[in-house]
Amino acid sequence: MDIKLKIWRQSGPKQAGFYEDHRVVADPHMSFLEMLDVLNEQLLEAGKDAVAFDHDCREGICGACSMVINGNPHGPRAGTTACQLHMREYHDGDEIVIEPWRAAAFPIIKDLVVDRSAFDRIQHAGGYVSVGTGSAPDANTIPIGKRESDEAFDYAACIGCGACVAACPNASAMLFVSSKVAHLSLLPQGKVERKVRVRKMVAAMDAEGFGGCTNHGECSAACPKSISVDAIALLNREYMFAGLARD
Amino acid sequence: MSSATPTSAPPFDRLVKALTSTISLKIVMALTGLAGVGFILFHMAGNLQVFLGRDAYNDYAEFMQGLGALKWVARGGLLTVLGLHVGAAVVLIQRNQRARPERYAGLEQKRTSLAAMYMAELGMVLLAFIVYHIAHFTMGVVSIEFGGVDYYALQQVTEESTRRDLYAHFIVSFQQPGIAITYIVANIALAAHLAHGVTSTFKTAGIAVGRWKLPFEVAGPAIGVIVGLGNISMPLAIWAGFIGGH
Amino acid sequence: MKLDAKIPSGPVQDKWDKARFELKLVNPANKRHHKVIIVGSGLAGASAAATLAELGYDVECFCFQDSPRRAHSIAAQGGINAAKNYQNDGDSVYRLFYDTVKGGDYRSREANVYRLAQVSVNIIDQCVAQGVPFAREYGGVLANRSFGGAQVSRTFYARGQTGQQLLLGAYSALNRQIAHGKVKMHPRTEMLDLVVVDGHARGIITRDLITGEIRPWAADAVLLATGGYGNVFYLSTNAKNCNVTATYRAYKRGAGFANPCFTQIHPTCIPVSGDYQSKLTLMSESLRNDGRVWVPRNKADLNKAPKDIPPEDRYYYLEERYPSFGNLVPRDVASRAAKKVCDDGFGVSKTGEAVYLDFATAIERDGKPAIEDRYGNLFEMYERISGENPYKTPMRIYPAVHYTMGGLWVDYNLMSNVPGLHVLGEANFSDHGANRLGASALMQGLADGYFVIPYTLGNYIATEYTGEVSTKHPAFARAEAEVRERQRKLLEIGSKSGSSRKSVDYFHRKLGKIMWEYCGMARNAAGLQKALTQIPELREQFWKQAYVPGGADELNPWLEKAGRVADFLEFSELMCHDALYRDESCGGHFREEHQTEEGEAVRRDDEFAHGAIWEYAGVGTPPTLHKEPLEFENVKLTTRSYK
Ligand SMILES: Cc1cc2nc3c(=O)[nH]c(=O)nc-3n(C[C@H](O)[C@H](O)[C@H](O)COP(=O)(O)OP(=O)(O)OC[C@H]3O[C@@H](n4cnc5c(N)ncnc54)[C@H](O)[C@@H]3O)c2cc1C
Ligand code: HEM
Ligand code: SF4
Ligand code: FES
Repeated sequence: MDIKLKIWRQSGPKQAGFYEDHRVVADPHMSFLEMLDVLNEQLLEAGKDAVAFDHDCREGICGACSMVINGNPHGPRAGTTACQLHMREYHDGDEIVIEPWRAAAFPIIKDLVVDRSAFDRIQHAGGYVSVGTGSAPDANTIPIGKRESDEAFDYAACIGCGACVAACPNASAMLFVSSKVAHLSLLPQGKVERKVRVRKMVAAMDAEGFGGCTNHGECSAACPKSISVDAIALLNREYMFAGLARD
Repeated sequence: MSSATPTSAPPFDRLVKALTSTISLKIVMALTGLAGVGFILFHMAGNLQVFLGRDAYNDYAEFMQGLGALKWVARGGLLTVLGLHVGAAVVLIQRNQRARPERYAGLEQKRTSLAAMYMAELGMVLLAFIVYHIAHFTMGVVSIEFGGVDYYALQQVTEESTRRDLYAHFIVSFQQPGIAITYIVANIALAAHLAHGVTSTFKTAGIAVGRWKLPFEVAGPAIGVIVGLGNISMPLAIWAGFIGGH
Repeated sequence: MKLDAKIPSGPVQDKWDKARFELKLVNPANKRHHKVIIVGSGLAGASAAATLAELGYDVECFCFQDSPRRAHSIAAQGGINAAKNYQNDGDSVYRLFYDTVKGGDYRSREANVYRLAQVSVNIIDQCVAQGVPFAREYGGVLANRSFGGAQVSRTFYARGQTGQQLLLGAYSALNRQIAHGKVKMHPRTEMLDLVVVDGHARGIITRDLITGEIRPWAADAVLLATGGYGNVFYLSTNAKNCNVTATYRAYKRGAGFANPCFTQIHPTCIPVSGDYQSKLTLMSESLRNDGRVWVPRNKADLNKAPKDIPPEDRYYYLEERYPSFGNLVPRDVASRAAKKVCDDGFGVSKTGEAVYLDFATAIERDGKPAIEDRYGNLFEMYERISGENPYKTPMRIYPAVHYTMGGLWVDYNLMSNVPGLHVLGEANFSDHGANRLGASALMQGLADGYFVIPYTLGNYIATEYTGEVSTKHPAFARAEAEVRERQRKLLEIGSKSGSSRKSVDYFHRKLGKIMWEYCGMARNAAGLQKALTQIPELREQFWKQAYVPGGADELNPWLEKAGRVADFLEFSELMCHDALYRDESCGGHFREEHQTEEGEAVRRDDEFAHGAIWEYAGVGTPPTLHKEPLEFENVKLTTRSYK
């Protein structure tokens, strides 16, 4: 199948970007990133600079791949990362526009590669349970109901890809932050520090320059792990109850 | 590392920071929005008495006028609520715009609604309308007839007394297509604003979660429709001559 | 090369206690004056960084991903073993130890494996305390499953993403130390060389992958937790960017590389679909608990839809050949059996390299909802990739490279023969012998990082520390200059190659084909010799034709890749040397010359019950062999039989 591509090219953080047109002959069994590999191979053999994009595991778990495909972060399939998308979703002659995540807090490094270290900094602010190695009690001393545990898991499934920010009309990071907060505050282990955690993480989120949530729900629609927007409501609740708790 | 120090900023700074965080401002919007909804429902219920006729309506108006000091407290409260709502909106909108300086070639919307996408614009329409509405009904500076009828000149003469005839003002106003259309448009905007706003409020408040989500997702549009239809029914009925017809 | 395994004396049960008592401690107040470099932020690296920082060391941690959370450990699906015996089904530290030594086909060190089994129980406690949401029963206690053919249920799991949940736990511990300023994290920073000063590992040279800045770092000890080298085969289940550079550079600086030919081929992966294939996706081993593996008995049926082939015409080769273990035989056995039926011409795909993994029986027995509950997300993933619905038609699977048991040689204290250079996780060779059991890599990575290195590193610092060294030492300048020169050369090829230029991937793919063909699931002397002549030729071509666009001072993924592939092009030769040397079949290493009539592996304990440790002797020059004899005091060497 013959595919027309319109890809965002930007040589560096400060340079101006532009869309570049390309054509690729793809196989329906290829993954989307394999299609880009083919394009890059073409470019390289022609002595040109290839398109930079982040990727690693290529099986939907590392959260590295990050591109907006025809207006959809990670492409058109729900609950799917770009690396798991396959060309059989497309037809001969289709035109595909590929852009990077766009958010002030995710500056573009090159082409489709953005800097998501803001997410790490939010996690530094409190995304952990303060337990040193060696000080843990036997794992079965704290029974945790299957329901609670499953619910916490639903939020823990976040792969930190940033598609929620990319999809949000406000470039808000609330789904990411809330999934982290919800995961820990739903478990007994995380309850001790819940107040301080939520306040610090929200402060860090604001400091990074993400937008605010206006409950569009686009984040959840784009999330490759289909994390529910309930996380955000839980975050708001945690935040309210945390009030002005001491750090 | 910004978060490295456990002993953080002085208490006052912390307070300001905590109160102006994205979530706190959202909570302000939600609470003020909810207060607004309460007021609007009450205000609508009052006005719907226009369907009960001149006496009932003017009784209600007289009662309201008679509240005296309380009335000014209420007005002050409403103004503060509106101020906070708009103030928070302005700060948040700015933050949101700054958060995405570069536009997409196109971002597909999957879940959101038109109303949600245009909350700020709808809000601006509402703000303009509120000013107009106060000028029209509260201050009476909008001329309601081509000939120019004096707001204070309309009087209802009953057996016991003579009082201002706000019913007549109401009717005459909405017999004028320009005014009726202004109100209808504004109330469509209001309906849309509330359709998203009310649901959003309960999500912001952390209540619309899990099995409570669906009821609130229905409640928002429902309240929007109720308020919209309720308010629009008045100008429509007058315009169409169902009430106040000669 | 001096290889002293430093195994404590005494019964295997007491060795670790004894060691912990004898290992010297560092004064708590002094720890913060000791800088430790940790390369890698996977399970091994992140857990080590967090724990050493908790103890007070001054830690600098590096990884090439944009966030430590994306290290390859994130991809592990199945689970993590621990001898908790929560199921009361007969498990014990000793049994886990025994199974691991046996599973490794008697090519691992007893003392290390025993310690691994001992600390496995603490790992689970630690992870749960961090908030890792392991699967639970309705009563609220932890759930277990049997994995990879183990006779006991000792595997803890977190849906199909155990690796991600464990790594997020370690990453959160790391974050806490980053927040406290105890760990300085350097993501998107690649180690390109090791710096050895007066025989001790004292630093590294890195490239900042965003700015291209090359800079030296000095420290009192260097820890490599850089993962495995499975990507030498180009196609593997590893993440695309996994590579051998860190350990290979250390090897070139004098560290011994042990058993490089020991690679694990995982039996259940989605087969190759075309030339464009960039990686292979693992389908969790747990699928073999319910799936039945077969191929048609008659070649005439190869073009038929599987449902049209009657049961009697299906060859359930694992069930027939291994009646007692059936579909649950260990990975190496299952992989070779699949290769055999496909080599015999019974493969069920266009490429002839696939077998069926059929759930029809299980669906009939337990109902579709039960199967969906167990494997729903895996089935979905399979369908997404292959376009076929495994509820309706059998999956097609084929073995793929998955894990590398070989790695830098380390002693009992996880230190290589270069003093100060410690190696953790998949990067070392220590615990899995010639074959790793399912769910044991995560266990080993975390054991090394949380519970071993915190004790043993102190001993090195307390006893062998040679005083402060700064990056002003000429060894740093020398190493840095070499790194720059190599980078310059890589960038230069493109400008000279003209129209003969090829992409770096072109060479990587070619190398992968050579390795898969001659050093893959089955090996023989003639093939390995052939590989040993083809690899240098390919390497020469690479240095003439590989095209690397862009410059050195910017994000340049092609330059990164070129450096890694250049190392693979040397390292692959080392693997072939080792495979050629090891004239026996054991675990993942199958030498066709050594098999029974039925095609089972034949070990040669008299000749090869040792680790083969290689010393660098120059590019293109055969490396020098050293041996570490393996002594088995507790486990009796038997022929592994799963019949
Ligand atoms: C698909 C898949 C599924 C698996 N499932 C299981 C399972 O169910 N159970 C199990 O026990 N095991 C499983 N394994 C194996 C297991 O995941 C790995 O062996 C283990 O996670 C390795 O951890 P590690 O910490 O040693 O290395 P990795 O997680 O590979 O981390 C390597 C780190 O080193 C860094 N690094 C490497 N080189 C450099 C350099 N030159 N400069 C800077 N940084 C560098 C990387 O950035 C990364 O942070 C699976 C493996 C695969 C591929
Ligand atoms: C008639 C008076 C008004 C009422 C009853 C009202 C009601 C509401 C409600 C209930 C919300 C939801 C709050 C939340 O999401 O938690 C809301 C949101 C909002 N309102 Fe108003 N509002 C009014 C006027 C205005 C005005 C004058 C503006 C001016 C700009 C405005 C701008 C906004 C914005 C930007 C939002 C945020 C959108 C969102 O969070 O989805 N509103 N309003
Ligand atoms: S919440 Fe979903 S979209 Fe956002 S970072 Fe996590 S996985 Fe990605
Ligand atoms: S490359 Fe890892 S999630 Fe896509």
